[in-house]
Amino acid sequence: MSRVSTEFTVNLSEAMSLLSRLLSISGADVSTHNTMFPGGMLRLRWVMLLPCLLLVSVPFSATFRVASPWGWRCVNETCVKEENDGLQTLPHLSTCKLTCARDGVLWPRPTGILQLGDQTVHFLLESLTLQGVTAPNDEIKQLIKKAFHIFKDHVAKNLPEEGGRPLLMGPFRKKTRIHRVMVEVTVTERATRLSLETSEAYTLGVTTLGPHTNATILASNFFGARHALETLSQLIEYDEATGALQILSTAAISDSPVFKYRGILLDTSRNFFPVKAIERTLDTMAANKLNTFHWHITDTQTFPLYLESLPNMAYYGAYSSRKVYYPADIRHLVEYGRVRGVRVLPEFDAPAHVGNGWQWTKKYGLGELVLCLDKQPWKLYCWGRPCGQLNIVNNNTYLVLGQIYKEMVDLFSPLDMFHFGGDEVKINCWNTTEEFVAYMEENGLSRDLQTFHDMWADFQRKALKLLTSANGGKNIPGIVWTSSLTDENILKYLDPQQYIIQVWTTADDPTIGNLLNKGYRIILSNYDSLYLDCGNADTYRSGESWCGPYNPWQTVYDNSPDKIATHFTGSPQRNLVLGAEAPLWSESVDVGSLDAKLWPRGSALAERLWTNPLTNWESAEIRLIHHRQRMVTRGVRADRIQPQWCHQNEGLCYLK
Amino acid sequence: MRGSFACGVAPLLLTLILAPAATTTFFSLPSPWGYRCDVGRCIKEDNTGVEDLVTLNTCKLTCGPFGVLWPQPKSATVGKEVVQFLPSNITHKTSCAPAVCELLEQAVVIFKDNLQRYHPDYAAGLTPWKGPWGPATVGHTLNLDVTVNTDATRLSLETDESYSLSVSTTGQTTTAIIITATYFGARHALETLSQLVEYQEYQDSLMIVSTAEVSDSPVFKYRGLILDTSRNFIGVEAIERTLDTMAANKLNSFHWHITDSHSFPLYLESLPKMSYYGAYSSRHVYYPADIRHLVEYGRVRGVRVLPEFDAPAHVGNGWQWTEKEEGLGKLAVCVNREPWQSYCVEPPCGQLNLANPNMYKLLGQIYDEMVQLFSPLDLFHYGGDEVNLNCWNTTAEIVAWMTENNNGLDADAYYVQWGTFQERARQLLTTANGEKEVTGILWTSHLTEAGHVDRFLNNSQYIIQIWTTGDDPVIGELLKKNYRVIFSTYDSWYLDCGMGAWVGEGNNWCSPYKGWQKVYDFSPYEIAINQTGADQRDLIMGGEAALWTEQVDDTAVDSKLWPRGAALAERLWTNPSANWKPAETRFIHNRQRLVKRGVMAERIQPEWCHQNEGLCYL
Repeated sequence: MSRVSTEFTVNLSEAMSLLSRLLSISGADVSTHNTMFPGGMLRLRWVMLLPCLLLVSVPFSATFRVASPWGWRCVNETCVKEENDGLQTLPHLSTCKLTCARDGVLWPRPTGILQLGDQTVHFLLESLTLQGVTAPNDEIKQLIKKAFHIFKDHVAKNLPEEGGRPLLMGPFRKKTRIHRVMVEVTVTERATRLSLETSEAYTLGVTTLGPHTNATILASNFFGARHALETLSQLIEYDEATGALQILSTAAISDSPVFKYRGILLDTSRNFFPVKAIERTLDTMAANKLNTFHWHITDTQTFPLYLESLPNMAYYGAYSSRKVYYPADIRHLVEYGRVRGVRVLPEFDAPAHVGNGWQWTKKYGLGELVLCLDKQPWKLYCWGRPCGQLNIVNNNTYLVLGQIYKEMVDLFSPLDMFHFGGDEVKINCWNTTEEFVAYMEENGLSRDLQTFHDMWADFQRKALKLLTSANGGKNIPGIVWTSSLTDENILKYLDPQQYIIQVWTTADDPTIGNLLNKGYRIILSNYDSLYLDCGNADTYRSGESWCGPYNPWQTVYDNSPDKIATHFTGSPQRNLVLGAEAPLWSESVDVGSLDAKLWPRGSALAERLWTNPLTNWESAEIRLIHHRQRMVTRGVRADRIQPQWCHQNEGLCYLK
Repeated sequence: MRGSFACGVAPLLLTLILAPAATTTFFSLPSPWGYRCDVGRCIKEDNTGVEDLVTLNTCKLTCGPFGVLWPQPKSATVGKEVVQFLPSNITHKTSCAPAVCELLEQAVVIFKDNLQRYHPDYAAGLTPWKGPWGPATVGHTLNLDVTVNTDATRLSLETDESYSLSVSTTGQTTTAIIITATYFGARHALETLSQLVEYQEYQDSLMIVSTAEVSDSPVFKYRGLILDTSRNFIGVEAIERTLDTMAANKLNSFHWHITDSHSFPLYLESLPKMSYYGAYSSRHVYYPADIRHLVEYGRVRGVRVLPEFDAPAHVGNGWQWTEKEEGLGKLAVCVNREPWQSYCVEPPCGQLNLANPNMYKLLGQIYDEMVQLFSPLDLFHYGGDEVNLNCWNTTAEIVAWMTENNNGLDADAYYVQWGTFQERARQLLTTANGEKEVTGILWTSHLTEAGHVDRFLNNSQYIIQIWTTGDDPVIGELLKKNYRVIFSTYDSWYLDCGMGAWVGEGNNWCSPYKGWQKVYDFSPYEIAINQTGADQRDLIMGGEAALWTEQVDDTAVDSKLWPRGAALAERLWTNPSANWKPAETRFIHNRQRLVKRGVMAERIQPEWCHQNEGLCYL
């Protein structure tokens, strides 16, 4: 019924047979309690209370605690809101959502087997335990335990609070009180670091027998296992009717992503983002099975990265000493991401997009290592103010750059990729700088565009060498943005074995076809669909931003790498198209609106990349809206995309 | 003063370069940068060996002609010197009527709390002031001396909001003398005073400009924001924060679009079923104590909480019980009717049932309770927009009633009945208000169209709120017919525009996003002059920016409202003759200040622009 990805390992077939065994065991039990909605007796009591409450007007500000007059009936995989008639009490919305549609409320939708039961069982948070862990070593066992704690925290967040205290719940039926939900995780491989080769596949089986629900997770490595826990958390909802948690009594899922690289870019140079906000971003990426946090740490505006060997960079370049990422912060975030299945991928953008932070070098006798810094009128010297470009003809530049790489490698280690930036070089900056021009004349270089590009490519070769040496001689793939180095002459400048090209131009840019035809691996970040900062007012003048209008979630969802590659080359080029990434450039964003810009649009990207659905946004809408609610429940300030009425009245917010 | 720090910097730096710091040292060195005021602009310079540079905040407070005051006062002279003090050293004395003095005490508490929030480590009501302070800082006192000359404690369209504020410093004492006609002017003065204060990072203290003279009053009487709490529910705390921030910007009307066809989150004691059936859940309800709390919260902050009960369209959910449970019949028709495109402008549909007299009974009851909750009312918003005649004309009960009464079934026949509904609504509200007339507000609609308006609405009873575009000729027509108006033109002042569509795909109907510059530059007087040849200042009450919440809830309410609401505030308070450009630097600082006060206001530029004034031009 669904695609089973080719990345699946042998373990999968074993898992499948286990799953089917588990399911056959549980079949009998399910049929015993599908006649009546669990909690029905309790709810009847509330309904009987209702008339008195309505007759006696409630004193001011008493929160009404009577059951809602509404319930939801599952009709053709749609939850339909109906008034309870006093004899029959329909399930609450969350129960219906959990049990009604074929895909439940899973996000991103699994790609393999997906069989969800239509019954739930109730349990209390303390009855949710990690029953068994099978893993090749202790490190992986510890990772799994951490992932389980994170999972359980997320489950706990379903429980409503008022003023920081849990709302009054219970009394619970005995059946609820004694029910146990036991999770078992089996991992066979030793991988503890993500790479482009990591299998993220998993299987998840849920079965219920009497007072026990077992969730069995099988994955070849830790990353698949933690994805399974995310999926499991989406089979659990709070039940308004009973105040207890509920889990689907049966489920069988096998799942693996279609694209390997599923990323979000955050720019922390234009505006600073506190560590807490980045943690929240990693949490939410994990909840969406996104696996790459591309950190555009520095740019011309600021240098918020504290380097122990070069403290002057942040001292001169940060907005203030409070707006700095210290080594412990970076290490913390790298580990925080790892436990959540997210690679923290650093970018050091060069030779353009540098500037503030480099002002000290002249004073310390190294010469001007950044040219055109804050130079006016900016339009002549850079693509976006303030200006700044590395002085690639001063050898000290490489000395400092090597030092920066060395510390970055140390902080982000072990790296499986590195982003060199490499976008938006303005030749005119170099060509109007006396020192630069003098160097060219001395060396008999003609000042044509070609020569400047050769010099830029030469810089990139040196940068790669410095990085490799910083990385202990170990070569890793480099990523660069599309630029004038990546046009039809790219083979002259960049080795297709060495570099992955990140495309930021539009989906109809022929560069994409050119890159694929020449065998380059690419990551799509086409701004016409994936730039999450577009559509505000322009940063610097009255009117719309350069890349407006706003890219709605529907546009993000429908931006299909397969379609884009096929358009140019006749095939999806899955071996070359590694995935995609939605950038949040932060000229007009800081922590105040970070979450709302990233989410739920980042979730739309996540399903496109994990599931690569054949259908468009319309068939995902109801699930996405519920998923957005789930993220809010977990403390993310995700944007609201529809009135809550649409969440409660599925399928009625259409336009025909 | 900076000299002593500059001396210390160079050797320390050398050490840092030579000996790498241990992991995660938080460097607490003073910045290598300082600022110089150059013809009204703060210029960033390298500190090394320079004696006369100041911190960014110090420069901002004293450099421009209006410092960092927002909205810009009518007239102000701001001194060039600052003095440092601690927030614990603030005293106040007041001269006022007892009821006013009681309010003033609260305003002073709010003022002091706002100053605490300037500290970068302020969190959850606590501020860790640590120093080290010099004796001059510790010994300095800020004295407030407030005189209010009348005893008004409620805002109305006649309230005098003007104030004068004089700051002077002698020795160890800075005195701020505030003299106003009303409490509302006095609290505005305290907001202004708080903007003459900033955090001084080198002393971990506050600083205030040592002298200032401000004489100020608003150009427009009505300066508002609408928040819609029906499409999505907005929590009480978020509304409190909105009122706080309105106060910080001297906006004075919080127009609360409480109900709509989507949900009925208002708990009414006499009609609990409205919210029981109509709220998204029992957690998405405003209870009477919430409403009373917010009305009072607003009053203390100089903000009128103005309720809207939108009718006869924009009703629906919440009205489902009348037929079944109480035998009142259907009081709302077309509720959630499909296909919605035929019966309303957006899902879900719903419109009051003109044919059922019980509808007026309930409406009267709703008004009764609203009047009590929001009392005393000086204005009431009847809504009155977007009636869909097809809804009524396809409802058998209404068609039968129209026919029986020989009203006809054409569009005009329905307009006449709608007009009658509005008159009965007005009478019900007047009764609910103890027979005291309250000025009503209505949205522009078919009833207010050219040729219609004076048939249905009396210009002494209604103010018309314009939501169409700034070039809509109806504006001229209304003004020529002497209707008072409030501007909420969607092409400038709708704050929800520019997102994705929520039905279908593409961008939402009123895209693009209205940037702060556009909000700032929209001038009601210019529109009036274009259409009528005069600025019509007696008829234009002011303006209001709208946040409809189809695509907003608690998570983004701050970033949608702010800082754009602040742009609106300066347009309406100051009505500057210049456009947004000269205001930009102050605007960005004001945004930073709002963030310090706890508002998640949107960032509009890289912080670099805040630190490098005037360089983010195009």
